[in-house]
Amino acid sequence: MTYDALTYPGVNDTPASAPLAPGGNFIYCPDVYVARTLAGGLSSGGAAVNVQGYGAVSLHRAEGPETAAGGDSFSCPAIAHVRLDEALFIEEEPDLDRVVRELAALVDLGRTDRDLSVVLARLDRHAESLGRGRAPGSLLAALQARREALQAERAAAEQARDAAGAVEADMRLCRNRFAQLAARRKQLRKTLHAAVASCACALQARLSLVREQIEAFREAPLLDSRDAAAVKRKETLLETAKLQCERTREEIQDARNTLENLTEELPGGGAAPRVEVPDELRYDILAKLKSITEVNTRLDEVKNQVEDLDGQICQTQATLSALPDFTRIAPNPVDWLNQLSSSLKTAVSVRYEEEASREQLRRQIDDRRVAGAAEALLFADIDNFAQAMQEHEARKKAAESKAAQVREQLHLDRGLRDNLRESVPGLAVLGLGCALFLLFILGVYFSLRQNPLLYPAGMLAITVAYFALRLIRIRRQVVRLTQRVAEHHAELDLLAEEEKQGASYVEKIMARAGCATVRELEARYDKYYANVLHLRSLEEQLARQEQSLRESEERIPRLFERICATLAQVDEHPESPDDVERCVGSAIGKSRVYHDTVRRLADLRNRQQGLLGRRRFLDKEFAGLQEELAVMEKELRRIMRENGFYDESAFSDVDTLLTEYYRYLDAAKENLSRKELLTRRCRALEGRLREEEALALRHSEEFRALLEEFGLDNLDAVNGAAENAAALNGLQAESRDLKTQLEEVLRGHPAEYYDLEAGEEAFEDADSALVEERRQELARCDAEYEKALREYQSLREERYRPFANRRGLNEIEEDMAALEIEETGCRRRLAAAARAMALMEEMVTLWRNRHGAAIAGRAETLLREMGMPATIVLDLAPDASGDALLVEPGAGVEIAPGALNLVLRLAALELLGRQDMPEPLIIDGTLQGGKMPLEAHGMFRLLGGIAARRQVLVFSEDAGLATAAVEADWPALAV
Amino acid sequence: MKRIRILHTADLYLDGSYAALGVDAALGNRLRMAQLSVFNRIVDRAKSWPADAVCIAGNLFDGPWVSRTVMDYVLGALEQLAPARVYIAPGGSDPYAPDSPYALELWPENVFLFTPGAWQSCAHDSLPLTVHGLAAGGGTVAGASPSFPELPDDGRIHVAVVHGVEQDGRSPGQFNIAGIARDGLAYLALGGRAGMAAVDTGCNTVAWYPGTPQGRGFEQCGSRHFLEVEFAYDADPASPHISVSPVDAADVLFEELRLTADQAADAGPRLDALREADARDRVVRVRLEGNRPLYACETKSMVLREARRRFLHTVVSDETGIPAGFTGAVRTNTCLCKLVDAMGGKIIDEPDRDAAVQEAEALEVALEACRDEGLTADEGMELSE
Repeated sequence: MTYDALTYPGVNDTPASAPLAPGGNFIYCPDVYVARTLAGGLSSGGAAVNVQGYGAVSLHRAEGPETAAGGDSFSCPAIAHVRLDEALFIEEEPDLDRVVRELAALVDLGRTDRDLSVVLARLDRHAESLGRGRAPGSLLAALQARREALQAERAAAEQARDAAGAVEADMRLCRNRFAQLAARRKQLRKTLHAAVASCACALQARLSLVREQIEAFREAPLLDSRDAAAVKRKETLLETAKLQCERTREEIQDARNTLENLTEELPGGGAAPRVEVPDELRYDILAKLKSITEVNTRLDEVKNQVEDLDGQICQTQATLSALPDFTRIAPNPVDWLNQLSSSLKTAVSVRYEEEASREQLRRQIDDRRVAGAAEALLFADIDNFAQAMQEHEARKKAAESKAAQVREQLHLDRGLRDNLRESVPGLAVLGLGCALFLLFILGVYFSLRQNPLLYPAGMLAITVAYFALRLIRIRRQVVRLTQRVAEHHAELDLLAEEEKQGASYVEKIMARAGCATVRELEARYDKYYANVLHLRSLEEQLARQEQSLRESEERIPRLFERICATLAQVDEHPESPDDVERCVGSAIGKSRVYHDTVRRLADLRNRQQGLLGRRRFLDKEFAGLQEELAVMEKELRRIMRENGFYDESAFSDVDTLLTEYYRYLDAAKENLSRKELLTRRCRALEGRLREEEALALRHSEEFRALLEEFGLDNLDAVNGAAENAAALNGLQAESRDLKTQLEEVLRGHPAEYYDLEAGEEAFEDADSALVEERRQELARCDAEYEKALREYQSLREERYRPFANRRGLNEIEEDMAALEIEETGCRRRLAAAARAMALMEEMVTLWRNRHGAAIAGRAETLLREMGMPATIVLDLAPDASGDALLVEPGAGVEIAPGALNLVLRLAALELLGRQDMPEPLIIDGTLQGGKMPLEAHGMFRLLGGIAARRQVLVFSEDAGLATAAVEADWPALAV
Repeated sequence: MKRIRILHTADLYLDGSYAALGVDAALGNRLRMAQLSVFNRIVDRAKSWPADAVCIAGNLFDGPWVSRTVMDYVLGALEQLAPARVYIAPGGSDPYAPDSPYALELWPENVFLFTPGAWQSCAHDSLPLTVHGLAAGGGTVAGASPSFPELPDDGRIHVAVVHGVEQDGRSPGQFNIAGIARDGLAYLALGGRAGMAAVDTGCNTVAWYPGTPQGRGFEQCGSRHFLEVEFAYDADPASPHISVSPVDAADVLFEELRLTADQAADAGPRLDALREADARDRVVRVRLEGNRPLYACETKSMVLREARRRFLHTVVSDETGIPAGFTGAVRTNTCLCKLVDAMGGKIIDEPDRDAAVQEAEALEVALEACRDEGLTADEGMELSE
């Protein structure tokens, strides 16, 4: 690819175009800024460069077949660009290390500021951040931690599900029972509703009949029972009064008859009238006697009860003494026993858990060991992998360094030998020419005998001698150098053989592991080491777990002994830890019996105390009554004595005393005058008759008034009306009763509701009792139903309880799946980064070596073309040690570092550029007055050689360079 | 004219897991909520229509274990449907097993559960409707499926509910539809297929699969339905006129969008167009096709970024092909160019696509690292876009 014209602002700002030669072109720009801007801008791929204050300058590409093949190169930056001031170290200290660095960067990326090592470092950081070697804080490590957390959560959820599964059988049974009860309940409801419907129907029919009967009594005379009774009572009173009058009249007549016939004198005349005991006193005495009797009875009862209680207390105390003393165990023995039992249970379950954990850890360790066995076989003999790697690297570098030195020496020796061999023919020709010329001069001298001819002959003789000696020396040098070359070859072969035979341990491992690169081996070692660390961690965990298990196993017998000692106090002797729960249950049962007995004893004693108190109270009451009775008895005896009954002292019992006293009074009354009595009797009977007659008259009037009031004529009519009223009342009561029954049966629902609910169920002649029976049956079923429902709900609660505050398995699985995807992506990115790094390292190593040797060879050629032969060894390998750039100039040749750098740079650009379509080389030749370390003519000779292979455009403000360019026959263009 | 209305649905997969979709629990919960929302929509529709019966032809749940929240919600919602009857024929995902909710939970009185082993019949209390059903059992059903009972000429509408795929010439299926469908059977409510479909029974029986009312994956894209089945009759219920109307029920739509890598840059408007067509939430799979770009991962990330701003969840599926000029031309002999050239050659020559894609990803990582270090990736190269 070439440019055929340069367009720039001409006079009056009209664009001017100047043709460009396909070889070298010098563009002179008087201004440094313009030259630098143009060189920089055009080399960075721009088709045109706008120079501030000057205008647009552009290159025009020549049309050619390469256009189609190469595409639009203007859009791409060109790498064939050199700044002379930098390359020649103008105004800078020469630095060969920098030369090598920049060449390496140029080889890597086609630019001099950075090489691929920065990219590798970035990839390394990227891989590190992704999680290579499970670095802490990396993405993969975080994902791994999250995975472990999710696995633990899933295990817990599965455990919870198992726990829920354990309840399911009971729950199913309960649910089936509940379903049966629900069906039975439904059937019972139907039956009840049918019974209610039937019963209600019967009650309603009866109610209708009763209502009809009540309606029939609407017109009949009615008299309620109270009024009828009042009428009858009045009639009875009237009749009674009449009969009483009649009887009184008969008595008066009898008394008068008797009085007329009575002639006998009264016995015991003049005796004092006898006084009866005052009723108040008598009643008081009798009441006291009755109270005393009652108190006595109560006292007997209390005594009997106290005796009974004494018996019960003795029996309870005997029972209590047969039971163990739970008060010695703890204030609350049930809680204490439960606590002990649960402690043992917890200890046993902890031991089982620890055992399971230990087994799990052992399995994990075994799995890890099996999984890491292959790696362990590889790395088991390595104590310090980093040190082994360092030794390997050092050995490798030492071998390579030695090989490089030998090769370098070989190269030098061979070059020197070749040079010497190449100089042999020249020297031989010159020597031979000189010898022939000497012979010719000697021949002329011998023919002419002119002495002046001896001077050149002498000179020629010296020259011939010099050449001869020189040839002999060269031959000896060639022989020696050939020998040294052979030695170097042998040494190289030896090194190669050693390298083959004595491969380092690391390489052996790499071969065994099938690792292509050291990085892969490092990655495997990292994995192995991480596995070893994890294994150690697991082993430590296992040791801790075993220690904990031992402690648990020691703790359980101690706990068991303690429980045995405690249970022995209550006569329970567990045979094993498994038997503890049974013994604790039994002990708790005994404890309950013990406490019940204690409570009962206390209760009996309380009751005994109550009865004793009551007995004391009754005793006191009895004494009080006795005292009061004694006072009254004293008064009674006084009255009796005053009335002449002197035998009172013979009777101690008050009741007997009173009886005897009244007997005494009756005898005294017999002694009164019979006539007086009859007279008095007649007067009394006459008075009474008058009263009775008045009473009969009043009753007769009232009776008539009552009949008139009720509108009845006589007593028969009253009876009829009363019967009617009674029948009506009966019917009304039955009606009310029926209504109540109906309400009771229906319970607030209409009868149709029961008909509807009963469905196809039917009952014949159901009564309230049957309904009530059905209702009770339903109530029992309801109770069972409710109980079953509660049981079911309780089991359901138990089934779901392990999942409280816990995520479901589906959520955990989703998180694990998402994590898996993320982890896969991360691993894939990590693999991509590792692959990119491996390939990049491989390419850098391969191509830096190749390019290094090629650049050195090309630079030697360029230098030779400049007339400065030199031998260059360039090692661009990333791990190069020692001098990466060695230059041995030819005899008498001195190469400035700047010139060397320029040559190397140009050689590199030529090699790195496209071979099929070389890009033009753009040189920024702005020197800004600086002095070049090589002659301008030499430089143009150098560039001329390049220009023969590709177009070269030099932009410079330097007039000296312009002159040199013109002198080197370069087309020069002034912009 | 008298009418009997039945709401027919199946395959709700309540309380399912979306692990196969690769979503996290947060999105899984959102999708489970969508399932419950669809269930609620079905219940609301059954109440407002109103339906005389609801037939659920299997897979009401995704498995035997159902969370308490979902279980209580379902039981409460079905109880609310009373006096409408609910007929459930457990399906393949939630068979009537001893540990299934059908055997453990207390279902409302208006729910009738069919059991496995034999066809059961349930006559409606107040309507001339008899529903026959068969549940999938917990174990593997071996041999022939239970035979469908003879239908009496009782002047009632007979409906059958069953879950499974019918036998046809291509696959064995779970039951023979010819053995069930007959002239006395008015409607066959089926479940077990992802998509809504009517089945040709060869007689007067009308048979439908409603499909899943809420999609669960990208094989169930677009609208999802439940069915409203109406039986209209004058005098003889045994020969009704049957109309079946699908109702779109999905709360979250699953969609697929095909994009070529060239279209990825302006994916936004295409995604917007998808969203504007239906305002419902979506889970979208973007299938990236065409020639694989050099920075394919970056392209995928860009599409994913754009899509996640618009949809609930997006999966980008890389289905691109590796073109002949994958890496473009290399102009110079620098190490980087040689690396790109070597990797490009390997990517193109690799017969295994996965291996080629892995190599392409490694190349992309290398070029991205160069770019991140401020190096122009096309230094000395003409890389493909």
